[in-house]
Amino acid sequence: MSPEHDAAALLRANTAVLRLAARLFAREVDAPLYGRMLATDIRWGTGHPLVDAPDATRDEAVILEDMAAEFCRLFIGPQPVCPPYASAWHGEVKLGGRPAHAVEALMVRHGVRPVIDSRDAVLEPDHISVELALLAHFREAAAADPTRTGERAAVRELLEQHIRPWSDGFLERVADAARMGPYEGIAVLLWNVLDDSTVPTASRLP
Amino acid sequence: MTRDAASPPTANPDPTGGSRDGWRLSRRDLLRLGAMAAVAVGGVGAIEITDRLLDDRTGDSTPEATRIPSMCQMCTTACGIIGHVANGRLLKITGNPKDPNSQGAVCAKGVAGPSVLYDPFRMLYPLKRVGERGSGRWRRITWEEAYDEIATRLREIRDRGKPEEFAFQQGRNRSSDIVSRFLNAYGTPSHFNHRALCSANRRAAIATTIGESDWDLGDFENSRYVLNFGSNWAEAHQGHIPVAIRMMRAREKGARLVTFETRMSNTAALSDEWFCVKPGTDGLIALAMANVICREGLWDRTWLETWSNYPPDKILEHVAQYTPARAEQESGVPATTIERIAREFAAAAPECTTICNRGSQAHRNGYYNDRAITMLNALVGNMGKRGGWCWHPRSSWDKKAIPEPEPVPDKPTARSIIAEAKDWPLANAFAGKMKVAEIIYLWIREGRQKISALMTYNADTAWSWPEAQLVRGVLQDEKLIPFHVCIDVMYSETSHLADIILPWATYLERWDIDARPPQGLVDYVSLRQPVVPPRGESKDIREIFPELARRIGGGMEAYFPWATTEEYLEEYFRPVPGGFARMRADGVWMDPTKKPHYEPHTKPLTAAELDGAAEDAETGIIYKGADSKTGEPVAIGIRIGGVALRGFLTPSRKVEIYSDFVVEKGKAAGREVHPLPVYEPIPSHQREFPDDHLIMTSYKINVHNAHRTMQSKWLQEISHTNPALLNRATADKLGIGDGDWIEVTSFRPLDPAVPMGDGSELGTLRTRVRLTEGVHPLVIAIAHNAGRSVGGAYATNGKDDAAIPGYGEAADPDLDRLWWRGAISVPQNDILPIYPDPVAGGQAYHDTVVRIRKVG
Repeated sequence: MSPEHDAAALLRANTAVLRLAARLFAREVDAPLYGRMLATDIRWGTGHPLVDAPDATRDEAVILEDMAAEFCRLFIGPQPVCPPYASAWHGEVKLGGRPAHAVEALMVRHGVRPVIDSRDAVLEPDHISVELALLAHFREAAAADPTRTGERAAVRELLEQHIRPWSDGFLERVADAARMGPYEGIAVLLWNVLDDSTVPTASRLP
Repeated sequence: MTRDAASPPTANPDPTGGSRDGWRLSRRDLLRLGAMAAVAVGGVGAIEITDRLLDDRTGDSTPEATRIPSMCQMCTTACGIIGHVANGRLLKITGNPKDPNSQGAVCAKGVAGPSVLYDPFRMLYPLKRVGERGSGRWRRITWEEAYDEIATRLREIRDRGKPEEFAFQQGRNRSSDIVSRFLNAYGTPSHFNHRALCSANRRAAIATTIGESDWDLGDFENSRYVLNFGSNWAEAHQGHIPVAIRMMRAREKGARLVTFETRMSNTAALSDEWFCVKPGTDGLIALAMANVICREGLWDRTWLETWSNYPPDKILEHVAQYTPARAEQESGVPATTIERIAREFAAAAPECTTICNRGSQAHRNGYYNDRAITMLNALVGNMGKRGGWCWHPRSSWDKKAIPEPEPVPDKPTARSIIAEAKDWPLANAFAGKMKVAEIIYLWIREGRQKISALMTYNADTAWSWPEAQLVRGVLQDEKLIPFHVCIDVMYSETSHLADIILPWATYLERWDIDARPPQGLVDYVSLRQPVVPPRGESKDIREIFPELARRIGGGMEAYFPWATTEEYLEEYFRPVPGGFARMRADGVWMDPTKKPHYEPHTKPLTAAELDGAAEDAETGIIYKGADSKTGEPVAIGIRIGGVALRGFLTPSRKVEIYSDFVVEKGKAAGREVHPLPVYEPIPSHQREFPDDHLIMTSYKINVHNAHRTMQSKWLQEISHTNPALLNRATADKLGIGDGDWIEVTSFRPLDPAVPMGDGSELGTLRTRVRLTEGVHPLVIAIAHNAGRSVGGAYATNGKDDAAIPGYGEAADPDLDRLWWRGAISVPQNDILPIYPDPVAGGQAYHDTVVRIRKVG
């Protein structure tokens, strides 16, 4: 595989992980998503990276309800174990604090906005899912046209200023707290994508 | 892949750490798993990013803030507020100067509203329990699912012809119109409130005496002398800010303020004099003052002869037994002081007034205490006068001028044993709703009334009720409460025991028509309006109830014909000049033609009013027409000195120092009720107290209300602890030092007039002691708005993660700033016995006998 092909494949893989993570942190696993995850014939060691092994033998409705309860416990509450908002992780007293304003300002500068489905439990632009969806969007745009420096800068800004300052703690918390479902697996996957050395880092910034 | 793929990732339990050993994937694995992710995520609804901007996206991130008038609901006072909003976000809250009650002032609780609105741990989605009730395991459900399940349950109960089996337990309810509309349309009388935990005894005493109102509104601003019996208006009174600003203006003009209270509250500290009294003796002090005023002829005899239904000489005869010496013996206040203050009070008449509240009325003898205190005002003739003891017939807006939009459902015909609470003669004797809240869950446990569904609304009964552990036991029991829907903003002990949680919009996100007793003596009406849209999927009951009514059906839906709340309020505010639009702009309206409600009893009846009226020659009472229900003639006034006047709205049309009405009510309930104000010693206090036996009292911390503010990070940081306050002299006798740990064991009263009043041991808590001279030597005082075990790390001083089954440590890094983690916070409500005043049912918060013991 040529380096160009390799880079393109990696980009596809990375953005897919970003989008899957954005989906999983925004809303419960539903039957279509569960079906697609099950259908991916892939193993991580001895098990599936996103679907717990024993689950495959249980009634799907029960599994989905258990995963819904797990999503609720982790991200919704009462008193979510892993609040999915940067404001909460930056020690802001209130949700929608300065990190949310900063992401909002970034979106305004670049003329974009997220399309939030009514089923998504997303209230503020500093929700992890919005930040990941933005990252996926700007990465793809930057890759599609290397001359678009604004998108590359947006990728750097998102990573350095908005995501990485809290993503490690958040993902560790998710992986530590998750008892079932895809959350532990996606946390590890996402951590690798965000840590991917192919992504521009602060040291490479002009 | 360098990680052992068969084992889960090793997450570092230290959130500040960075160890992710075993997490690193090889490039090959990353590609492989990324491809899997692409397959999984394709077409399943991931968030997309678009460059199609919405119209309101201007790119201007710092527009000028919009000022939106509304009403506070951090406590019960409902002050006018202004929400300052920019970019759809509430920046801060200030007072609304147009509000005639609060006049632009706002307290610490009020400015902390944004911390509740944007709380990271607020409930924002409908939840349904997945595991056992109380296991803390939930899943998000849609409003459709929630509506369907609730409507199905409620429809079944109603269709069975047992609407009373649907119980509605409210806490602080500022949406009384829509609540009553829903419950009346449904047909349930099982509408439970918390009045007995608040002001029932006081209200009954005032209503007995003047008939027209159950709420006194002293004209403090124009007063020269204020006698305060246990009202903590500087911190926690129902009229907190409106009273406080007027009191302070009076003080600036030289008014004298004297406070009787078992604890040195901030109100006591703001007073000219504070007297530390034994709990439950306020009424005796007032009677001793009455004794002095009558004996020394300091009364307004003419006024009494005109307006009292009991002759001055008979009053003198009655109060002769209550000498200052006797009052000194019981209360601890010197007789000479009682005499001096009685003379000063009378000398300032009519520009003098009493104020009383929890300190005097939240007792086993609370009704009589407040009867005696209220009588003092009649003796000096200050009733209804400028600077005197005043009242207003309306506790909210003028409902004749601004009536509820039709169609309005009739009241239910079904009966509720719990709501009627017939064991307490005056609990439901006057206008209002059920007033013996303490016994609700006891009676449910005893099976006195079957409950098939319970809806709790802004009511954390499982934590804030006396014997809260009993409430929790009932709520946990699915046989007693088969279905429990909780409507609230924050997770609490009560929502923890629900089957469905409906996320309630905060007062900053919803609508109300509202007003409070007018401290300026002119009624007004206010609008509570959303300063920001509801967050998440939270909704107000103004949206929930109409939808439930439509789904329950059976005619209920006919009472909710409006498509939106705005449409309903548009109709409601039509009588206001400028209508709904004006209310939205100003937040409040007061009819400029109305004058302060001074001396309403002296208003002459008009010729039209007298047309067709008949007069009782013996009493002078003027009647017109007949009551549609009883057929009895309706009194409209009384002839005084040859002039037909409106009079008081009591049966005698006079101030009822002597009340036949309450005697008759007592007989009907099988209890003796004294017609006159008396001192009735608290039975369980009539004993020798060993050194280690004390009377436990409770109080509110000034930045907290009874149940909703402990989840506010801002307020909890200010005040988060409730050590036991103990007098130094008492502590010395027991060898207890400042900061020592003690065990407090409470006892039920030994009192046959009180449920379970067998004197048995009730419960124990452990806390630390703060020594002070600011509390009576026989008292141990503990704030009762503390001691949560559920509700977030801030509300529980970091405890809740250990107490919620299945929950790990909350992941808010702001917890690093939880410097008060582990601070003492004890649930006093758990060891407070169910202890209603046998006459009116108000909870005796300050009469519990306890034993203390140094531990550790």
